[in-house]
Amino acid sequence: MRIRSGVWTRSRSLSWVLLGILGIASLRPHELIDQLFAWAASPSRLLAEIAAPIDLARSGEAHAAAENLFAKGALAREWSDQALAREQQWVLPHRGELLDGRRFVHAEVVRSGSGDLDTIDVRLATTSGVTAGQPVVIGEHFVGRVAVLDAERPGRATVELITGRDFRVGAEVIPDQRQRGEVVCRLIAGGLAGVEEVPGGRAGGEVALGVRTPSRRRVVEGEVRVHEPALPGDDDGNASRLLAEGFLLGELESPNPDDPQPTLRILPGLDYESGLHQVLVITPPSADANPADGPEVVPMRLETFEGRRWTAVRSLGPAQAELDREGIQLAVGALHGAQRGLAVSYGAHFVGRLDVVEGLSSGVRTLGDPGLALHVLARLEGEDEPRAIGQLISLGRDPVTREVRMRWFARVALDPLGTAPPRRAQLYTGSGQPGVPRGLLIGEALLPGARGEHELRVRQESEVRVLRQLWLWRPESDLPRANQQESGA
Amino acid sequence: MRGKSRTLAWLLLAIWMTWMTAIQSRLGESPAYRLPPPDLNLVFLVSMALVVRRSDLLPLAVIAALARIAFSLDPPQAVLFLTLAIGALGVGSRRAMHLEGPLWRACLSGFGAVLAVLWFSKVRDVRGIEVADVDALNALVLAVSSALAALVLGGLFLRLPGLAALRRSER
Repeated sequence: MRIRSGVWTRSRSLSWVLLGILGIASLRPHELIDQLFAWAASPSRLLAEIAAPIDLARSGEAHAAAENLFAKGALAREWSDQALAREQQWVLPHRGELLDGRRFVHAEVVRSGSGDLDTIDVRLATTSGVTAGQPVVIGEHFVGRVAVLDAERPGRATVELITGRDFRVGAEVIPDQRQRGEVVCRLIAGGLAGVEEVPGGRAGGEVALGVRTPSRRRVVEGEVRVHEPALPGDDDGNASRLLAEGFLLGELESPNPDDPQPTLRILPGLDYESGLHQVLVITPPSADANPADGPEVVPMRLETFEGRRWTAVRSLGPAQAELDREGIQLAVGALHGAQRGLAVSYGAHFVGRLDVVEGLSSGVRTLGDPGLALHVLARLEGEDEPRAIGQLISLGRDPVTREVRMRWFARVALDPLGTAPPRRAQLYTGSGQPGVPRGLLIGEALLPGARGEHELRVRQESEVRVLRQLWLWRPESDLPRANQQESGA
Repeated sequence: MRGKSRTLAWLLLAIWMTWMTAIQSRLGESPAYRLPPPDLNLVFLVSMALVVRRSDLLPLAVIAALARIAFSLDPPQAVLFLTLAIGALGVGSRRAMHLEGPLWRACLSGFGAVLAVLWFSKVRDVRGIEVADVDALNALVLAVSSALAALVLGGLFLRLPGLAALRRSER
């Protein structure tokens, strides 16, 4: 292979082969290969430590940012705690007939979206009394049914969403102004309207529920609520069906109402893609429940600010060698239990999410890193309860104003008329993204009221990237077994 | 004795390379510096690739890659691909066309910086990281600043303490 006068030498061949392997490994992502290269890159941690003296000149700036955030941390945490507690109140139905004869078990969404509208995973406040088939709701909205309780992870369950391809539920249309003696329209709802029905085949855009076999085609508007007749010989199923009775599916509408055979669909009023944060599982009431005491509710324990869920980590400084990227490097790697996707915070403030996890260090994508996606709760000025506004995707940081540009597709309008001016809001992390606890303060932004795509400008409290000491969220698998059961069920 | 001095030279190269990449990363993060900073990591790599032995290409690319990975959010294999490709371009152009002067160093550094932007944009795209289109103006500023850095600093980089043992003695 060593032909001096020719084209090939061994080292040149080796370089070309290596280039080919690296090119394929870069452009054909594979988890195992990525992990191998990440481990092989572990010596880079030593090099990051060597560069530490460069940051000595900026220690004053880091100190000032830490003091500023520490001073505001207690207040931010109090606001966040209040907002999360009120969110638990907000997801309860307010109409008396939907509360009676039911027990509500809070659950936090731990996985949702990413194009999958068939199921979500939830962490239940308790598994006691919860069985497969029971309805899952948010406020008055029917969301789906418990599909299976996870035997491996106590307190976890999978929920089939009404947007799922094979989901069906009986319903009736309540016209806006119902006439005496008017025959209601009954129908079967479920799945998505107007999309090719392939598994996981939809992402982004507007979500509308499918309508099947309506009893009357001429009814093209009105509220659609769950209504399912009891089936003989199916006592358990009938009990679950009864619990879901009367919950809202959405508003019936038709894109072609004057057509002799109008197409029907249901606008759900919920963002199924990324707006599911807290849900309620409805179970039959406990034997010792007293209706006079009000609705029977099992609340969710708020773990976001519990010390046992966080580990102190040291920052190795900014990781911004590439144009337009924004991040920091942490002195914690796979060897210390770091996992991709875990949140990094300072007090009540969101800093970023772990992305590239090497053996001894990890790269954190911070808010200004283009493409960083977060499920967000917004607490609008003048309102106590936070609203789930869906997903925000970072478009990068403005080099002049230092604000972060974020894209927001509003699937549910904050202002149904769309005429009100944008409203100021505090943004918090929501649920549904594994490794990111809800309630961490992201920043402040003006939110337009109308549906559709918007570009927001998010102002962060302080420059979190210069901080030297940060906190890393501990996944449930990292907690002692007793703690897992405590937090899970 | 010669082997020892070369080992020390590689170690010193790793330290110098790390410091240059760290400065590049800090410039990228600094609110005071609003333009895309020069790609000092690639400038240093190109400067060295034009003077080291051909057989030293691989260790040079690995050191440049490790220094870059320490301040990068992109996959390590993509970073190593970039440094190996740019290093090979430097070594290859020197051997095939005898191009090694300051002007060529500047051209190659500017070209390499733009190549890096396009390469990482592609890597992020295939990995499902939502990326905006490459901003042509930013890429141009990056290319010019990297080329200028190569022109002004490239010679200085080669004269940093401890690196003499890595320069080839004959062509």
